[in-house]
Amino acid sequence: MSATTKLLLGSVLCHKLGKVRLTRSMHTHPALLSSFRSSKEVQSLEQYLEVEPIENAAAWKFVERLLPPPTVPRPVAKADYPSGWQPQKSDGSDSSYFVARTKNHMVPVYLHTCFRGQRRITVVRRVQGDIWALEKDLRSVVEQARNGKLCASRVNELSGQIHIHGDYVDILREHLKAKGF
Amino acid sequence: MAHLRETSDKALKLLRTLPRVQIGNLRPNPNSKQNDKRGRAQHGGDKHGAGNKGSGQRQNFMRLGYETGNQPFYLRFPYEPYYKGHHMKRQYPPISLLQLQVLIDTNRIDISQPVDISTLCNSGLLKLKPAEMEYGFQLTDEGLDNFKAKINIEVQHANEAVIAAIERNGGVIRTAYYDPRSLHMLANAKKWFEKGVPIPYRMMPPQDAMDYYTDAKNRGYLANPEEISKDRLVLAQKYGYQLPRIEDDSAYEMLSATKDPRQVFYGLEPGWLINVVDKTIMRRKK
Repeated sequence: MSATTKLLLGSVLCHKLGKVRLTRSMHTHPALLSSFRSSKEVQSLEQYLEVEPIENAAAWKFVERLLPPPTVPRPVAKADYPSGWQPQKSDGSDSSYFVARTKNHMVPVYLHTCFRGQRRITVVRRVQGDIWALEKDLRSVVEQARNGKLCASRVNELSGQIHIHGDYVDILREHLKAKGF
Repeated sequence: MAHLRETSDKALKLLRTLPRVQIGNLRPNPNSKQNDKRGRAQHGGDKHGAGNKGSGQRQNFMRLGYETGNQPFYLRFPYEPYYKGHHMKRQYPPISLLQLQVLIDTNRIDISQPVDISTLCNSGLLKLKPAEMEYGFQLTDEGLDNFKAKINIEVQHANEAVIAAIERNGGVIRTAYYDPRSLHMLANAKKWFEKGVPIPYRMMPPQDAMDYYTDAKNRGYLANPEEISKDRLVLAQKYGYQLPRIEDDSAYEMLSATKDPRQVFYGLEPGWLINVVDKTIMRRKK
């Protein structure tokens, strides 16, 4: 008994659903899921404009301009750099440590803030070689900027990072640039 | 202090005989872990920070903004139209002249060609999101004194000082409107070419942007070119610099390159289809 009612109900439902689907397909546009699905089917070729592919077109240089470079371009040597940026000059041979540039050719000095901006920590990354000697140098630079007051710092030897308490990003970046890093 | 040093020496000596420090024989710092058990009765069981009586003790957290019977503040004023239509306003994310100079110095953009949205986006350091109502870049005056490049740049908004800074160096600046579809194409041109769709026309600016882009003072792309050249001279006199003659410049062709108001990409006409794989351009047979 129950099985037959279920069957009946099922058939009624199917019928209803079919109706719904029919009406919906009549009143809505096809789903724009992709340009392939929403594009028109190919008509007879007479309906289309005649086109020709042009190889080695003179205008291809304009297309090449619009294609992004696959890698970060290398900086070009110039007489002066008005923005204050400068390329790395030192290879670390004249000091016991080396600070590498980032992939974007920038000095890796960052500001980390936490506690809603209340704690500011200057982070120097990508240090190679004698990190403790660099920490000593940076500490003396920061302490000079603080009028002789001591500064707190932390060295992570494994990851080559120096954390200095306070916002000394500009001072340290200029110092490292002056040293050629 | 002597006993401290002795203690540390002793500790180091001990450490030498101990197994290597590794993750297996480390334990958390003292008091770094919080006990998640809630003691009852004599085992620390009192109010547990919930206080005495009322909704605090019962912890029946009232709904946000409920003021226990007062008309809540968030319902007190029926209508506040201060930000009406904010989601419809056109956004112009800023780039400063300093940023632009850094991009030039680090060889991220090529100034031997005209600079537009696609050049800036292709640098990989700037992003434009047309879906978030960003209608292009505005050039701001930070680093104005250090800007020394001679460029032909097209942005969507620029103020007078920025225009003067560009023109002082013998460059050309133009403000131009792009509709969201064109912006989408410019923001990632390569991806758009891969769709294999003919390049559409660029739309004209909406009514409320028309005044800006037809004004020679803003170097609008729909302004009268004669008025623009007159205004270049006026601006040079106002800011007190000698206007370099771009007609005599060796890079005159680059500096005078413009797009048609209905054109999206430099040098590529609407209706063309770009095939990046075969390096061909499909166009109508003449």
